[in-house]
Amino acid sequence: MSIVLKSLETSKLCINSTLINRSHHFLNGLSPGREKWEFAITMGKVTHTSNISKGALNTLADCVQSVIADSNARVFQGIKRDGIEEGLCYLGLPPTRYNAHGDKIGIANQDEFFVFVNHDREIYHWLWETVSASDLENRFLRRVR
Amino acid sequence: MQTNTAFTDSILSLSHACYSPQRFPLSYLDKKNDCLEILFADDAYNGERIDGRVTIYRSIETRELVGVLIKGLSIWVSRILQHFPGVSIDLQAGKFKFGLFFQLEQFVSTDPHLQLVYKQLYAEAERFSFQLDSNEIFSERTTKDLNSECATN
Repeated sequence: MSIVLKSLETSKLCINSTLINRSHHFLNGLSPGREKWEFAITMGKVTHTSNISKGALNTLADCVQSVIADSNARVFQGIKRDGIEEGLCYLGLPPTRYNAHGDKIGIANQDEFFVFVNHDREIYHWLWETVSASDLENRFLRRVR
Repeated sequence: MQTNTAFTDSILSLSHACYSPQRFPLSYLDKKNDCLEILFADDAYNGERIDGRVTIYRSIETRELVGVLIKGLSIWVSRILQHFPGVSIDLQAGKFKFGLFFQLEQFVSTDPHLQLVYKQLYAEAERFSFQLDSNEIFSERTTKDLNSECATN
C-alpha cells in the first residue's frame, strides 16, 4: 500500500529564536516543499558524536547533510508513538556510508538513512535502517514529500 | 550562520587523534527530546525498532547488539514503574543501575524475541555497570511525581 502525500503543517516548524543564543551548529537543507531551510544541531549531540568514532563524525558531516539537502529524499511528518509527536523525518540514500574508522563501506539493498528533526527544526537523531514500506506507514502520521 | 562547508569543516575538526577502546559505554541523554542513546561499541550499525520507543543498534558486520536508543524516555520509565512500583525506591537514591529497566522489560514481555533482546541489553548494561542519575532523567517530572502516578494507577 502506498503512502498518500499530504500537505505539510509548518506552523511549528521554524527555528526557535532562543536557539540562536544557545550552543548550536547550523546547516542548510531543504524544507519538505524544497525551499531553503536552516537546521540546528546542539553542540552536546555533536560532542557525543565526536566521542563515538571518526566514522560517526563522517556520518554527521556527510550523510546527515546529504539527506536533508536532497530534493529527492522522502519526508514524513508526525511520529506515531503512544500518541503523535511533532517533527519531521527525512529518509534518503546518501552516496556513502562509513565504518568506525571513517572508511567508506557498501550500502546494503533496502538500507536507508533517517534524519529526525524536532518542532524547532533541530536535528536530534540520525541512523541507518533497513526499510519496509509497511513499517513506514505504521511509524509516521503522513508523508509530506 | 554557517555554510555547509564550514559545518563540515567544524564537525570533522572534532575527530580525536586516537579513540580509546575503553571509551564505552557512551551515553547521551537529550532532555529536550526526551531520548537516551547508549553505545556499547563503535561498529557501524543498523537501527532496528523493537517497539514504538526502543530502537536497538546491531553491528552490520557481526549482528551483535552495539547500542540502544530510547525515545520518550520518561514515559518509557514511568510505564515500567507502573508495573513495578517498588523500583521507584531505587530511583530516589540518585544514581541507579539503568540495566534494571531492561531486565524489567524482559520480565513483562510476552514476545520471546523481545525477551531475548532485553536480556541482551540488560547483560550489556551490567557488563559496563552502566548507571544514570535519576535526577537527570526526571528533571521536570520528579520521582515523587512518578510515585504518585504509580499509586494512582
